[in-house]
Amino acid sequence: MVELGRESLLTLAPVLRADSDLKSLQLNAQEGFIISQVDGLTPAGVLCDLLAMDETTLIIALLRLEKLGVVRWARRNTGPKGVRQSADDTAAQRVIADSVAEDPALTEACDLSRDERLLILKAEGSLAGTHWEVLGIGGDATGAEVKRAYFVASKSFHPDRFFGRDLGSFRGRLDKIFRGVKLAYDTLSREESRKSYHAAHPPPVELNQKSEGISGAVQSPAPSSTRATTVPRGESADDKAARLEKRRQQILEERRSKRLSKHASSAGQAAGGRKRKAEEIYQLGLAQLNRGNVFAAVASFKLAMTYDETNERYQNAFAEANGGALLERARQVAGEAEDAVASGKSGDAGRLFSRAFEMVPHRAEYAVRAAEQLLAAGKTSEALRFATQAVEVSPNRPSAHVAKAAVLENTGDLRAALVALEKAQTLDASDSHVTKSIKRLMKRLR
Amino acid sequence: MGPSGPDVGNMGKVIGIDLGTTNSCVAIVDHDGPRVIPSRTGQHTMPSVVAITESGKQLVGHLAKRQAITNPRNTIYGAKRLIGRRWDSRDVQKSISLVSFDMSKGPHDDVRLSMGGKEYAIPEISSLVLHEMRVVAEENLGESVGQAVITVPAYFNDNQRQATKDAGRIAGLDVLRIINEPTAAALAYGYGKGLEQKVAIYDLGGGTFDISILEIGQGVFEVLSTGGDTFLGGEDFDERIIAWLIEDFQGQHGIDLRQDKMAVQRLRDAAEKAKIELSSLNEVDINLPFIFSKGKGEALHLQKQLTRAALDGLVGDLIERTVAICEQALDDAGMKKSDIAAVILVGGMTRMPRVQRTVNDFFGIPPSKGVHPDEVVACGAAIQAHLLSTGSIDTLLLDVTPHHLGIMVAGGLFDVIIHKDTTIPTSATKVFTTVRDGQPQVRIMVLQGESSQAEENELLGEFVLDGLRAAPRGEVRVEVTFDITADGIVGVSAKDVETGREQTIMVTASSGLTEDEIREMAARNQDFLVKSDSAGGNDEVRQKVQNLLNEIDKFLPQARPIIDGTDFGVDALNKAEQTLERARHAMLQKDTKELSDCIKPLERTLSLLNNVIQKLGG
Repeated sequence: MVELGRESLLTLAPVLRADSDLKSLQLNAQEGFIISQVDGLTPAGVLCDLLAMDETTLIIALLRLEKLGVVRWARRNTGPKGVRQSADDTAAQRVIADSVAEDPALTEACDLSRDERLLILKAEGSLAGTHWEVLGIGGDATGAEVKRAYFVASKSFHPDRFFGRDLGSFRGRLDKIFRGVKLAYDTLSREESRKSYHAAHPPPVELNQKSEGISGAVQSPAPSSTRATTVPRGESADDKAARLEKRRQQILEERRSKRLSKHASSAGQAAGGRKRKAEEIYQLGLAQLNRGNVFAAVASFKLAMTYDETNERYQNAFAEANGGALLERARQVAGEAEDAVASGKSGDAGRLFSRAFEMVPHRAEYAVRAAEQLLAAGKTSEALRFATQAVEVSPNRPSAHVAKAAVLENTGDLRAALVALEKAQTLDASDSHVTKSIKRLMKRLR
Repeated sequence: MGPSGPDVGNMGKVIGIDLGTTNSCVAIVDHDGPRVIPSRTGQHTMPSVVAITESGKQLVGHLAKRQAITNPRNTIYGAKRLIGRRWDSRDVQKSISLVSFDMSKGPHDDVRLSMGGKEYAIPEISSLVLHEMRVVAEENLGESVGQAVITVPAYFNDNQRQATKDAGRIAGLDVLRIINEPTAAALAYGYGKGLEQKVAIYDLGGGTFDISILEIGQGVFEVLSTGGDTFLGGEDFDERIIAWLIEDFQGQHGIDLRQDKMAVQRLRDAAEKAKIELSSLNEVDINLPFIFSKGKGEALHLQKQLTRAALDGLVGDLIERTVAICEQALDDAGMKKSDIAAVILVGGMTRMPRVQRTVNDFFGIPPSKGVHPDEVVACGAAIQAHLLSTGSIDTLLLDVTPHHLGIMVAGGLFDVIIHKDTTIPTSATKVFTTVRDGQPQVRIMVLQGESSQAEENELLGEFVLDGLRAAPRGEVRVEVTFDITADGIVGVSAKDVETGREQTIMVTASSGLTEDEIREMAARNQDFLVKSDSAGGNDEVRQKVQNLLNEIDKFLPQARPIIDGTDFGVDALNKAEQTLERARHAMLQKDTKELSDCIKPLERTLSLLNNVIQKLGG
């Protein structure tokens, strides 16, 4: 668990200070990497995921950058669920990272950290998607946005980034990723190829900004400026095509503004754009949920919330999807725990069960199992904590009381153990094992 | 975070070297950012000149250049123009008559030069320059240097790049990467500035012209297109001036100075000096006394005035040639002039006002003033060396392949598989078929270049895919795949689509040297280094005295008849003879102290002779 202060920072977006002179500062490569992703919109919690960095490392680095005058924190209008929500956030990131955790490449002997491997494997996985998905852009991305996404992705996955290291199977993966990124860029940066690709492979949700691309690029903060001034490559070569494209964009723009007129009227133009984006991402999340991809849906809803913090639909959808994702993940962890039990590693099993319980704190059965295994491993005080929590979460579950009694007996508090057993017996009188234990305890007490 | 970049601690410092045609420069990135490493004497660049004196001493840099006039046959300059080229290539054949040293054909169809009675391969000559840069860096840093990034012109083909890499190895350097000079310049211009713009790098150096168009954004430097001309540079400007001087002299005296290698070398120096001075002056005097001796003390002198306008007239067409290449590069990048936000000038020649004006007129913006044209490339190389060796994640260079790559097909034509200016790493596949009935094998000739005629392109390697099924022509299909890694290494494979039978080669471009030869040269180089290091300052003094003696010996016979006719003459001559005697004796005795004491009197003698000749001789 991280401290409260850090946790609340995770919900805030760092912003680059325009007045800072980056060149004059001695920043290390990690800090440079962080800055490259700071866009004033993305909360620190999401940056953790984009940068494949753990919360503590990132927050410490950001605090140093703040001290150096490189970044400041964007004030957020009171977060929807405050601290609690951010905890969910980071848990969800872990869930996403863990979804590739079983890949054997993670344990291959090579000169890459686990974080780097996860990032590469994730990017490799996303190559299966369309060019839009590979670059993490929507159908309405301007030439400058396509370029930006391409640059950001190149910087993360070009083989030079890992120059001189032993990369094992990851060398081939990086090559593949870079070529995929390049192909996506080549296709989408040229007007003609983009048009035909658009027809054959429409963007995931019409004209939306997709949440998860290789680059993890979040659309540039000032869309108005990029749109007006940038001329995509090749446009001049084909004026007619350019004109048609412009007309198409106009029609789509009109359609969109009609659809979202209620948002536009209530807020300013920029806020309307952000709300529109949020809605598109939310719709994408729903689609992902329907396809059974609960982890992707969590990420989408989370991203939608960063664009529109106050919308309750997003918060609810996120909470629900996140709950589903956590439950799914908890089940997997509990399965691993049972395997550990089978191989007699009660310490590992206890730790895994307690992790599962922390993911889904309403599931007392994991707390019970954690208590049992921790007790077997001799970690009495931890066992007692989980047994007590199990009783608190499910006071009507006999096994919780039985587990608590076992721990108490082990600590020598026979009287309290007896009370717990009697509680279990009142809940389920048929358990002969409980009855026997009561008799044994009464004998010892005498 | 996870593991950092490769372990460079035990490899020493990492440097960037701009190995130029006329001058070289070395730089490093330290905690203050990139900086050029000055030599002991404070110079930021060093002539890419190598020589062996009559006494057998090897010289590199300023010393080698200074004694070039007296020792033209054993002084090698412009080796970069020859590196990685085949003996019978047009470019080499063109050079033979132009250079003052002797060239011959090497055992691998490569070029060998003779210096001090010994044969040298071109990478070996370049390695001497690289080694000197390494020594300069080590002396300045007080630490050993093991790794380097070296720059080459953008249009260098694979053989030329490989030869440059080999030169690095012979010099005992682990060459991390060969990068393009204009790309390096862009890196130095934009590094750490957070720019988002398109830039043009206009590089007119001593021997070559290069233009590159790059896009910078998010810390990524992407090369969009490159272009250039291998035989267009400052030396061509010099040649124009030399030709003008020679023509004039022939008109006046009926004598062709080209026959006299030493005269040509003096003309070359004077032309370069005049050209440089005309960047700041409107006119200069070119004065070469005793340029030609008719024997019996009779001599001819060359005296000429060159104005800036006249120079512009002599070289205007050379500058115009660069404009057409710029236009092509813009076209290749799919860009208009107005898209370019900054033009960066690189190379000494861009100091010429006419060049700056031409660039300004073409792009419609004044060239960027922020970078030093002679040092920016080395700084860029140092930055890339730093990025690679530290595993940097905030800056990335996206380089391109500079030439079309492909294979020869029926009719001697060149079929392109990977186009020029493709970002690397990359790969591409094309399917070919047999041209004869029952053809049992296909020969894959891997070529690089721009011509549609296969033979006019550079051959990188060849191999045979055999065991093809006997079938009517056009029926057997062969899939050829080209693959280029981020290091620029080309791999080619050919596969019989039907049988899956496959042949692969890594195209190890040929520098004209075998692996054994490179190792042997590296070892020999090491020997030589030990010797010269231990000799230390002694050698320098000896060299200086020897140079002075050579100079005086040259002037004395011509000065003697003039001096003889004056009152003070006899005394002066006696004194000069005494000084010479003393110096020669000290040379024989290898008496270092006595040698240093001789330097001053020798210098006085030389300047006396010079004065006499200048004032009374003309």
